[in-house]
Parts: sequence; structure tokens; C-alpha cells
Amino acid sequence: MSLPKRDEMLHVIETLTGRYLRGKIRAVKLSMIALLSGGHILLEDIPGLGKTTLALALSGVLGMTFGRLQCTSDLLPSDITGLSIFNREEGKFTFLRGPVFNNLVLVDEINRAMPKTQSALLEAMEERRVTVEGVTYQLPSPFLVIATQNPAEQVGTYPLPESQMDRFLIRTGVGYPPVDIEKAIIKGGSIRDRIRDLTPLVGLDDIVEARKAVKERVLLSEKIVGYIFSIVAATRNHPFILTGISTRGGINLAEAAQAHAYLEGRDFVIPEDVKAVALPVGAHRLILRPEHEALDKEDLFQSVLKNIEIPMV
Amino acid sequence: MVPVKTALDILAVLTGILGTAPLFPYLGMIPRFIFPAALVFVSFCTWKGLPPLRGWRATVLTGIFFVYYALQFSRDNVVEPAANLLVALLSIRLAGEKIPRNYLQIYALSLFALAASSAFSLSGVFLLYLVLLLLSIAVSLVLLTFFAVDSRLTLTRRGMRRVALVAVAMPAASVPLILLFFIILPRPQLPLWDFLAPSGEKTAGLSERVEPGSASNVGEAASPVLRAQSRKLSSGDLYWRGVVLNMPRGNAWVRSDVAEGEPRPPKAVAMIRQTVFPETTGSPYLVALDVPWSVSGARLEKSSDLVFRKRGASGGRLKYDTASSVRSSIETGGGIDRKFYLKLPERLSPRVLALGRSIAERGGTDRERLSLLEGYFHSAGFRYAKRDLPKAVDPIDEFLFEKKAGNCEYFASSFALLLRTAGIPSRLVGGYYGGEFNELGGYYLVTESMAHVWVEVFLEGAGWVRRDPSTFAAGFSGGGESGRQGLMGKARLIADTFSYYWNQAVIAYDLDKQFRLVNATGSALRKLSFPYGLREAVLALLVPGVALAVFFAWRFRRWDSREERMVRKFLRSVVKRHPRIAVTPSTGLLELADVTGDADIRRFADVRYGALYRDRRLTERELAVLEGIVRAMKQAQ
Repeated sequence: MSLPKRDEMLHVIETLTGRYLRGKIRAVKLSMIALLSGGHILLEDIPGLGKTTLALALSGVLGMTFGRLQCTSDLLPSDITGLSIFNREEGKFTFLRGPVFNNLVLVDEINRAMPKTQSALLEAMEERRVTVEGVTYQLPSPFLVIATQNPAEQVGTYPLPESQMDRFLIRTGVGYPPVDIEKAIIKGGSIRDRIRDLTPLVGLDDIVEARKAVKERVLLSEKIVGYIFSIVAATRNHPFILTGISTRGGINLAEAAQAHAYLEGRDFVIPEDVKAVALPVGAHRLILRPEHEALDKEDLFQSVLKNIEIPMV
Repeated sequence: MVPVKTALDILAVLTGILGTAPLFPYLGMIPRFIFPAALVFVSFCTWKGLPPLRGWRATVLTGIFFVYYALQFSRDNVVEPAANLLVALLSIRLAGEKIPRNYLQIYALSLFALAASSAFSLSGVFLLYLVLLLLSIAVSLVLLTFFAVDSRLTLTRRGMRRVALVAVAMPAASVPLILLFFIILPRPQLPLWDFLAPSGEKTAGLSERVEPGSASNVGEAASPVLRAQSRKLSSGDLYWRGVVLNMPRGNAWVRSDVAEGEPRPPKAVAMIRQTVFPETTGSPYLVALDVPWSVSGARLEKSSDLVFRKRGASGGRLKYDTASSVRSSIETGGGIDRKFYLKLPERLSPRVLALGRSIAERGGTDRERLSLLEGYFHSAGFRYAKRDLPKAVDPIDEFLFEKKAGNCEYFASSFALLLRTAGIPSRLVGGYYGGEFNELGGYYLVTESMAHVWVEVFLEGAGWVRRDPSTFAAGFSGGGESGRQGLMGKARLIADTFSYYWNQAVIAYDLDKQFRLVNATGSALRKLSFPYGLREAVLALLVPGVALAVFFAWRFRRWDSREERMVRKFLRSVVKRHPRIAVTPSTGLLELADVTGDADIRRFADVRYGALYRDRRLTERELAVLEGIVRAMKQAQ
């Protein structure tokens, strides 16, 4: 049994990782999972590892419109959503759409924007619509936000509150590419120009159809639901963790696992799918107790996972 | 970090020592020398990093020892060459280089050596050595499995401790089995070697012949003779009667049968009842506290002079009960054969004869003469000695008039002879004097070193009266009785108590007792009777009870399905095939397949996941496929 549009999606991933984004398979795959399950992704890494290139390449190859926001502390909500301007010729206000009205929005250094702006953006991400001056505008579908932030710099930043971290389906790093590949990249130089020439491999309709397939065709069995629940419950009862994974976190985990199963070519979710996406989907949602804040959330979550039995019967 | 090899080497030396130590007193000179030499050699080599004995040298040495001891081997001499050869081989193995096979040889040889020690002695210490040896070998065997896989493996201290704990748990788990076998297996009651070739060998101590002058020194063996369960007595009363010697022959005193009236026990005297556990010796006489009026609990014959002799073959360890009264004379019923008890040896030195005569002339009655003779012994300045004893043609003459030093044999023989020359009936009594009271066990320990001879004098109206001429001597301490104090004394006391209980509980537990136990159990079962109606009531309760238990077991026990059994089997095969992969309940099957790269696991996971996470049961065909995979994996092992 074949899943609709799976080959196309795999082709996209192969093209990107094989020719343009070498050494970033994980990030690309996770981005695709976010796209297919309708979530957003937060790339947390130091500058210069290709976060922006990743976003650009994705938008190019997916045939999606692309908007970009470079966050600064004086960025206003209206800079994101857009604003109404009086049109003298027509004698009325017309709404000029902001960068958020794109299929794929790259929000660079999201933690440099002030909280007011951040929350406007995050609201748009969650609701998939923007209300300006009483008028509600629907955002295009599919809608994928790729936000980046630099964990190393702290001066002049407004760290995202935990409640807003929860809105990102996936948080992941990009990481340095493997040595050989990095050498090749250094030799080859920047690929920004080549990315501009990328032709779309799939259309918006394909993506919508693939999303539908993920939702409807990939079976989430009772056992897997139970497994996900026991993961979520374990994070809530852990002595080091103040607040565990929320119900939304559980939903996201299931959706991401479905997308993972879809990419693997299976029409049902297995525990390994859940495990594969658990860290990027779950870790950033944990709030640790103050005395254990120094711990790495991913390591902690990994240890929680290790103690949860896989449903075998 | 502890290298496994070091631990194994230390344990091998320990094992060798534990196996050899109980055998050591019985070994010949060569193994006595080369065993410690091998230990020194191997420690030296390890310390200096030199190679141990190896290759052809070890083989040649083995061959030499084998031939040497094979030549000594004969029908009458089986155990000693075998034991010596065992220890020689063990020494070579300990000194040699060690591969896993050599370690195993060391363990086997040590066990054989320990087993060989039981052919010489059935001491309770055997148990201690056996337990230690088994523990040591158990730990070694577990370590050896590590060593066989990787000879340069090192373990952390914690790891080593855990290995040791697990290994120690194994023999501990076998304890119930040991107890069961102890109860049901048949056993000999004597050291195996005695069993095969009963030896007449006997050390100093009780003998049927007292012959002063036969040796210039008296050996002292502290080996136990008997243990008598008793209350504590005054130390002056501890005369243990063994045999009566009534006939002087040459320089010696021997026993001759005598027919007399049965002596009567005195009335209104408190009897001291004792239970005696004798060690197995060659002696046929049953030793009992003087004066023993009755001995029971063994097949024996009683003589009129209160000597108890075992009847039949001396087989098996025995115990007997005695009733004695201290400080009483033996009153004979119908008088005695005075002529018999006045017999003198054919040849008697004139000086002895003259001394006896002079006493006879001076004293009017037997009692007077006796006190005159005692006075002579008191005043003549005799000295008690165990070395440099008179050893002439006529040792009694030399003892009385020249050296004036000797042991109890001289005192008793000369005293009795002088009595007879003075016309007083007398005889020698051989036995033991003294005894160490064990407060822990509540018994007296009598050792060979307490062997003693004294004199019985017949006085008209009183009967046979005990007189111990040795007490007149200077330097007589009274047998081996001594207050051993301090830590060593306490340790000896405890060790002897253990030995006592060991003999009582383990060695004395023989076929006879086994039969008695079986009979007792059988009759107890037969006699088991219920009052009227109880049997019916029990049945009436039992049947529904069992039915209920079966029902609940069936209802609440989660019977494993075929599928679960198969998954369990599969996981076991995976663990066997990939011992380095940790398979935990949180590991998925596909994860396992990815980690191991095992195609079988992947096929299994695909089929099983296809049903499991689609919320449906496995079809019959899928089940068959899976079982096929599991079978194939099992066969591949």
C-alpha cells in the first residue's frame, strides 16, 4: 500500500539534503515533519550554520511563498501583520499585508523582538489568522513558521516564555555538518545564489494532500496513544520536572509521530516513530525545578524515555 | 581496577592451600617441601615478572613424580603414595603457567587432596575446609568464564565484589540439597583408610602391657581419647579406668583372665552418670571413670575386676553410658585368690626382694605394711620424669635404687611388686588421669597424654583400694591436666567443642541411625490417627478448598498466550545472539534491528508491528512466520 504524495515528499528531502543542504538531514526531516503535521519549528543554534539557507531552500523547492522577518527590539506587531494605509485615490484605508502572509515565514532571532511583537506573531502562528483593526484575515495554507534564535547571546534579548515555547511543534538545533561535508561546503562556497534558482518540486496542492494523508491514513493505535500518554504522565511525575508536557504537547507528539511514520512509508505509528520525534517535540516543553535548571532538557527527557516500557502486548 | 588474572591467581593459590592444609600432617617429606616451595616460587615469579615453570620442564617433573610414587604403590600402601602424588602434581600446577585448563586442574587437584585427607582423619575441620574450598572454587569458576573470553579483562572493585557475591550465592543455594543428601546417603564411620586396612597402629596410652624400661622417652600425643559428658568433678577424682594388669611377666605386667566373685556396688553412694564418646582407637577396652560399676550402650563383656571389653569387631563409632562412684573401694563378694595376686616375676633383683621382706617384717598387718611402703616412697626422693628413663636389664631395680626417676609405669610397677613381695595382693590399673573440663560442651576431654598407670591394693575388709604411687613423686603434675589459659587455650576449647558436636551429630550419624529415622518416620505416620469425624471433616473442607484454589488460579492467572510465549522466546534468542546489546523493556524491536543490523530481527519486527500497532491480532499465518523465524534463530545458535 502506498501513501499518497509520499514519494514526492521523500524526493524533496533527498534533493535538499543531497545537493543543497548537505549534512542537515535531521533538520530537513524535522522541518518536513513540522510542515506535514501543521506545526512550526524553532531552530536554536549559533549563527552561520545555515538556518536561513535551510528556510530559503525549503521555500524554493516546495513552491511556497516566502516571507522573512529580522527581529529587533523595535520591531512592532504591525511590522509583522501589516497595516492599513489610507488610499487617497479610493478614499479609504487599504490593508497592506505584512510578511506573515506567506506560506513559509522565516523569523530570524525571534528572541530579539520585544514580548508584544513576539506574542502577536505567536498568536498568528496558533490561530492561523490575523485580526487588524477589527478585520480578520486568514493566513495562507499551508503555513509554516521557521523561527531561529541564538542561545549563546543573552544581552538585549527577550527569551521566549515557556508558554510560547509550547506553541512550537519542534525545537531543534542544526549542528555542525560532518567534517568532510563541511570541508566540501567551505570549498564550494555559499550556495545562496543556486538556491534562488531552485525550481519547485511540489505544489501547494501536493502538500495539502500529503497533510491530509498524514492525518487520515496513518493509524494511531490505542497502544501508541497509551504509550504517548505514559511518556507525558512520566514527565509530570518526574521529581526534577516542575511542569511536564501539556496536553497540547501530547497532541503534537502524536501528530509528529504520524508524520514520521508517513515519511517512513508506514500507515501506522510504531513506538520507534514516537521515540524518533520525542526529543525535538517534547524536550523544550519541560520546565525544570529551579534546583535542577542546569540540567540539559534533552538528556533528562531521554532518561525519562528510557524508563518507559514499549507496549508489546 | 582488578585484572581478572590476578584475582584468579590469588584464588588458585588459596584453593591449593585449602585443599592441601588438612592433608599436610599426613604427607611425606617431598610434598611437604615442594608445596611451600612452589608457592614461594610462584610469588617470586609474579613479583619479579619472571615466567613461571613451563612447557617440558613441568611435564618432565610430573613424569618423575608419577614414576616415583607409582613404584611405592602396593596393595597395602595405596593412599599415601596417592596423596603425596596429588600434592606434588598440585604444586607443579601452581608453579606452572596457567591457561584456563590449568586452573581447572588446580581446582580438581585441590578437591581430590581434600578428599584424600578424609582417608586419614574424620575431623570436623574437614567441614570448614570444604566450605572454604567450595566458595573459593565457585568464585574462581565464575571469574574463569570471564578470563576465558578475554584474558586481559579487568574489573572494577565493585564489579569484582558483585561477581564474588553471585558466585558465593551459588553454593549457598545448594545448602538444602547438602542437608538432604546428608540425611539419606550412606557413610562409613571410620576414616576411609582405616576402613580399607584396619591398622594396629597405636600411640602411647592405654595398652595391655606395661613394661617399664622398653623406651627411654615417652611420647606425648595430645590426640583425644574420649569425651565424657559429665558434671564437673574434683580434679583429684579424675581416674579413668581402662584395663587391669594382674600378672608380672619378665619386666612387664600383662593381663591374665581371672575368675572371681562379682563385686558389689556400695550402697548409699551417689552414682556419677556419664556418657562417654570415645575416639576410635585400636584399644578394645571401654574406659570409664573409676570406679565404674556399670557400662551400658554397647556390646561388651564385663570382668570381675571391672574391666569392660568391647565384644565383636571394633566397627563404628560408639558411645556408652557409665555409672561410677569416686573414692570407693571395690568390695569383692567371695574374697580373692590371694595366691594369684601375690605372684612374682621369675626373676627379681635381690635388692627389691630385700626391701619387700624388710617391710613385711616391720609391719604386722597389710595396712601397716602399706603405710610403711608409702612412707618409703615419700622419703626416698623419687622424681617424676618422662625423659631419660631407666633402661637396664632390670629397670625396676635401677629405678628404685639408682636413678630414682621415672614415669607412672615405673612407680606403679615397682610399688605393686614391692607390695607383692611384702605379701599384700596388688594389681596395676591402666587408664587415664586428669581431664580438661569443657565449659561450653559440658564434658571432660581426655587425651592420650593423660595416660596413666596406678595400683590397686587389696585390703581385708575394704576390698581393692586405689593407690597412686606417682603422687608421691616430686614433679608429678597429674597427667595432662593443665589450665591452658589465654586466647590460644580458648580457641582450643572452642575447636574441641566443635569437634565434639561434629562427632556427635555428623560422624556418629550412621546407617543404623538412618534406619532408625526411617522407621520412626514410618511408625509416626502409621500411628497418625484422627478422632472420629475429623477425617471426614478435613476431606469435606479439603475438596472444595482445592477446587476453589484451582478455580482462582485459572481465573486470575494471566495465562500466557502463544504470542507472548513466542515473543519471550524471541527476546531470549536476541539476547543470546547479541550479548552486548542491552535489551530493555523500553527498547523497540525495530530499534534492535537498527542497532544490530540483524535481518532476522527486522523481519520479525515488521510482521509483529504490522499487527500489533494496527490494533489487530496476528493471523495464523503471521504467527507461523514468526515462530519460523524464532526457530531458525534458535537453530543458528
